Amino acid sequence: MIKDQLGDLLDASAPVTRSLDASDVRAMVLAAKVASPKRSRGPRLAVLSGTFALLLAGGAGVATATADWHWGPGLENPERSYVYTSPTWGECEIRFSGFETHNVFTQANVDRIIDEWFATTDVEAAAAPFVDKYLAVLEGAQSDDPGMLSDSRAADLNAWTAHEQALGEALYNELRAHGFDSDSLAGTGSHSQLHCDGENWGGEGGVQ
Amino acid sequence: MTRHPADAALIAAFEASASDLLAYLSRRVGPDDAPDLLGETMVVAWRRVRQLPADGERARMWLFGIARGTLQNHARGERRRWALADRIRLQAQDSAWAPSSDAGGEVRDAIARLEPDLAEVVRLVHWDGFALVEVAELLSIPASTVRGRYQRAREQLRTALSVEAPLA
Repeated sequence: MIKDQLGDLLDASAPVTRSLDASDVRAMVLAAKVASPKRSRGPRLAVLSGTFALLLAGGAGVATATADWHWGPGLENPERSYVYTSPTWGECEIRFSGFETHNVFTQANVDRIIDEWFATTDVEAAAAPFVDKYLAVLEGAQSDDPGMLSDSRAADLNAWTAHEQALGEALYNELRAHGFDSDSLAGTGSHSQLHCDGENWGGEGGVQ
Repeated sequence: MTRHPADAALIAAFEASASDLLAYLSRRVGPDDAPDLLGETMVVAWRRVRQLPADGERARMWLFGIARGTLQNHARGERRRWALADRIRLQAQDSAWAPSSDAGGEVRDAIARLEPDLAEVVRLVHWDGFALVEVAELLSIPASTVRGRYQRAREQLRTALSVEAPLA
């Protein structure tokens, strides 16, 4: 930054910034922790690390999702979809973006494998063997956590995480069968989005 | 709930930078949506908490990078409503969040008239306090590109604001 009259003017033009109350920030950070169940580390799960769009809209069911629910960028394709039943949120749909490999030489192959897998595979059945494992990990980690135990959304959040992780593991297995391991997918990004019939991200007035 | 040193570090990082992050987000999506995006930033940060840099400045950069990602994912009608964000939203309504009618208004208008890429660099440098090299990192573009944009922005702002160039 150049310090001169113009630089001073630009510095001084910064809009008024209000300091947030530290207790509010802390409460919000802790609430975010509850909403972001830990993902176990490891090569398989690292493949799925990315930004997860936790998007909320009111009440539209999965059956009418395409009409009433707006899926995020890269998630418009209903072919990359996974459906499960949540403990209290009803039927849920996870849409998966696919992997952005940032590698022009591998992207097409990865896209093809993923598309074919979703198109030809009973993905719910493929992921089913892994769901309980992830649920057990989540519930075990939360067993001494009062914040999680008292969170009415915990079961649904855990179900979401477990199914999403299970889907990721099943998909990773498919990619690995085609020669793509964690090393070859290093740096790959992806994201997913969840929508449930009766979702309630809730808390204190957060339902929409 | 805190069980790991990184957890405490992340809480501290947010306590140090949340106001700046909210201002950054608010300038881009408005004060109503910004608290929700701050919440999203926190969710993503928790998921990546083991990647949190130990250095305070690096941690701030890291959080801004995540916030920028939430902005990129943000689109009209897409957001998660945050209960605790409502408290922050309410406070924003009660306080002088919007820029006051001070002398900076003319400068802000001039910045707003710049090409978006140039304006972004100016805001990140002069409003958010980043060095040019940090801006480059945040935007994932070469430092030389940022320097070029910054120089062009300054030249245009100097003209728009009738500020004379300093003597060499």
